[in-house]
Amino acid sequence: MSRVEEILSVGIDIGTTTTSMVISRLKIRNIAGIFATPKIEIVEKRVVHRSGVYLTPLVDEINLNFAEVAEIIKKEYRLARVNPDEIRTGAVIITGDAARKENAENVLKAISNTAGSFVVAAAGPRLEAVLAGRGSGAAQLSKDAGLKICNIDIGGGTTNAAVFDKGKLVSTFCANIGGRLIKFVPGTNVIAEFSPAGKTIAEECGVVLCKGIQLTMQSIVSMADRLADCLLNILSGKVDGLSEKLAIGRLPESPLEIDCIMFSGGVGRLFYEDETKADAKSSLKYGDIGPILAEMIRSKKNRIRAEIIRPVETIYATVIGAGIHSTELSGSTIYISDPEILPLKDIPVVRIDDPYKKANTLKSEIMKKIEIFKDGGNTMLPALVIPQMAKLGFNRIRVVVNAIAEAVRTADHTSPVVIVCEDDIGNVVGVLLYELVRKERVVISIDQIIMKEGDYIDIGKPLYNGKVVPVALKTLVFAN
Amino acid sequence: MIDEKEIKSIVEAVIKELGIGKNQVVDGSLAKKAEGDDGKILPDLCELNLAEWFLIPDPAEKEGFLRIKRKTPARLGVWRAGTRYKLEPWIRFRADLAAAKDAVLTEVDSQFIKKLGLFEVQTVVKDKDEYLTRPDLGRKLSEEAKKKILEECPKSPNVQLIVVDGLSSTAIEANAADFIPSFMQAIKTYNLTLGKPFFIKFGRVAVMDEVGELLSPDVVVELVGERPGLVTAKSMSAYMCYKPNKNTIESDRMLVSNIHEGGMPPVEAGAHVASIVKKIYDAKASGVKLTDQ
Repeated sequence: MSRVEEILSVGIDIGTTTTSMVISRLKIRNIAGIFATPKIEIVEKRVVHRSGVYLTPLVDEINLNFAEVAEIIKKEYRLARVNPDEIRTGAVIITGDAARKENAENVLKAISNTAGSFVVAAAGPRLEAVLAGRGSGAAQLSKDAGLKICNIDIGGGTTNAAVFDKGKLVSTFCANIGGRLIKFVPGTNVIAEFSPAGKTIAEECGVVLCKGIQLTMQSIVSMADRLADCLLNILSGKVDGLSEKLAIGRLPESPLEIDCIMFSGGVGRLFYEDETKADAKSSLKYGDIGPILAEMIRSKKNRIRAEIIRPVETIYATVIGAGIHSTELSGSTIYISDPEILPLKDIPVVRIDDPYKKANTLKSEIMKKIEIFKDGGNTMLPALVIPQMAKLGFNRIRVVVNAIAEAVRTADHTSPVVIVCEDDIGNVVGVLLYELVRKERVVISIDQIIMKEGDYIDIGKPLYNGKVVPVALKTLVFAN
Repeated sequence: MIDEKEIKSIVEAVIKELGIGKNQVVDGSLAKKAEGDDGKILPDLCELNLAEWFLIPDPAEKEGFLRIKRKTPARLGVWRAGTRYKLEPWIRFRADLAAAKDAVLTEVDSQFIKKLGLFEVQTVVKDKDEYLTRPDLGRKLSEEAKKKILEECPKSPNVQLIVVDGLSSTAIEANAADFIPSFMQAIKTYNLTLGKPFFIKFGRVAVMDEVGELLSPDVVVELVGERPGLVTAKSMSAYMCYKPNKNTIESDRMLVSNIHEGGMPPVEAGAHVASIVKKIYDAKASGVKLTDQ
C-alpha cells in the first residue's frame, strides 16, 4: 500500500442570505501498483468542520461587509483548530445576489488572502449550480448508478439546477426563484424587504408590495404557489411569461428527460422535512416565504416526471461542492522546472487550434494569441493548451514545442510559460521546452486536463513528492 | 529450423501455383478486406473495437453492460453458440493470439535498428528456439558481442541505454523510436552523460548485468519487449538499475511497464524514465533500496 498524503481544503459560500464554510480533508494516494506508472488520485474526501450558517454580512444593500466576512472565517479556523497556512486548496464562492455586487471581485481577492495560500475566488449562478450538484451527491450518484439526475438547488435568491448524465455535466439553468424574494419582520407578515424578482412575482399575482405593510396569508400563499408553478413549468420545458422574466440566461426548451430529481439548498431542505399543515406562525418562522414555497412545490410533486430522491447534503450542498469538488489533480508525470513560483492564480487559457499545422503557421498563431493578452495589460503569459493528438509521435511534439518556444521568445515579460497538455505528454513537453527557454523562463507543463479557450486555471504547490499539482479550473467565473 | 525467408518463399510458390492474391500474404501485412465467394467484402475483425463489441441478443440493459465492458479489456458480452464461442469472436480471438505469437517469434528488423542509430550484438543464444527454451542463455553476451561493445562504447558513462528484443519484437518496433529521442533529451537536461546505446538480440532482462560489468555505467536503462498478451502485443518495459553487476538481485531493479499507445505513450515514458534515472543517480540506489515509493 502506498503512502497516503492528506491535504486540507476549504469551501466558503457567501450567498444572498447566508454565509457558510466547510473544511475538508482530502486523502491522496498513488493508486497504481508498485511496478506501474504512478497514478495519483484523491481517494477520500471528508468534511471535518462545518461552520454555523451565518447571515451574510452586508454594509448596505449592495456591499458586502468584508471585515465581518473575514472575521467569520478567522473564527471558524479557530473553532476547527486549523491554521490558514495549512489550507492547500479550495474555493470561495460568492453566489446569488451577492455575486452581482459591484465590488465582488475585490472582496474576493481580499478574502483569498486571509483564507489560505491557495483559495480560488469564483462566482456565477451556473458555477453555483454545478457545485451544488456535486455537493448534493447528484453527480456521484449519477456516475455510480449510470443515471441522468437533475439537482435543483433552491436558495434565498436563486434556483440553480444542474443535470448530470452518468456523472457528466450536461446542462445547467438558473432562475430568480428563492425563499427570500420577500422578507418579513420576524414573527409577523409585515414586509421588511423585497427583491426585484419579488416585485415581479407580486405583480403577476396582483399583490402590491410595500415596505412596512402587512400581507394577507392568502396573498403570500398565492405568490409561493405561482413561484412553484413557474419552477415546475421550467422543468417540463414550458416557458411562460413569468419564467422568462425570472430566468437567468437560457432555460430548457423541452421537458427534462431525467431519471431522478433532487432538491438542495435551504428550500430544498424544507422540501424533505415532515409535512406539517401550514399554519401562519410556523410557516413564517424564518421571516421569509421559504417554508411555504417548499410546501407548494411538495404539493405539486406529482407533476414531476422523475423519481424524487433525497440528496446527501441540502443546505450545505454548494459550500461542500466548493470545498471538495472544485479541485482536481494533474496527471502524475509532469514537468515543473521551479516549484518555488507556485501557486499561480488566474492564468488565462488559450488553445493551440491544430497541432498538426506547419511549424511556421503554428508559431504565428501562438504569437497572435499571446499578443491579444499583452494588449489586455496582462503581465502573465496565457497558459497554452496542446489539444489531444491522434498519434503521439516525438517529431510532431518537437515541432509543436519549437513553435511555442519561438513564439514565447517574442513576448517581453519574463513570466513562466505554462503548458496544459490534454494527452499524457506533460513531462516530455516540459523537458523539450525547458531545453529551449531555460535561460529566460521557468517552465510548467502539466497534463491530462481538458480546458476550453477563455477558461482560467489556478495551479497549486506540488503534492506527493512533486509528482502532481492541484489545479482549479474556472470556466464560469462571473458568467452573468 | 527453417528460417523466415525460406517459409516465405515456400508460401509464395504455393500461392503462385494456386494463382490467388499476389503478394497479399507474402509481404506479411494483414489484408484489410477480404473478398468472399459472392464478391461481397468481409469486414476485418481486427479493426473492431473490443470495448464496443456487444453481441448479446435482446439485452435487458445494454448501456449498463457497456459501462462494465469499458472498465476491462476482457471479452465480455460476446455471446455464444450452444456451449461455444460464436464464429466471429472466435476468429478474432485466434487473430489476437496469432499477433501475440508473431510478436514473440519474429525478429526486430535490422534496418529498423540501424535507423535508430544503434549497433547490434547477440547473446550466446543461437536461434529463437534456443532463446525460448533456455532463459539462462539469454542473460549471457557472446564473446563476439563483448568485444564489439568494448570497441564501440565509451566506459563509465552516467547512463547506458540498451534495447533488447525480449519476448516482443513488435513492442520494440512500435515504441523505441518515440521513446529514445525523448529519453536522450531529458537525460541531457539533467546534465548526465549518456553512453553509446546498442541493441541486443535474443536478450533477457538480466543481460544488463553483463553490460554493467563491461562498461561500469552508473545507471543502466534497458528497453525490453514484454511477454505479449491478447490485449496488446506492443507493450514495452523500461528496466532501470544502479550499477548492475554479477551480484545484482532482482529487487535492485525497477521498471516502468505498459509502455504503448494504449498505456503510457512511449514519448512521455522517455521523459518519465529519465526523471527516475535522475533520482537513482542522485540516491546511488535503485529498486527497494530506493525507498521513495
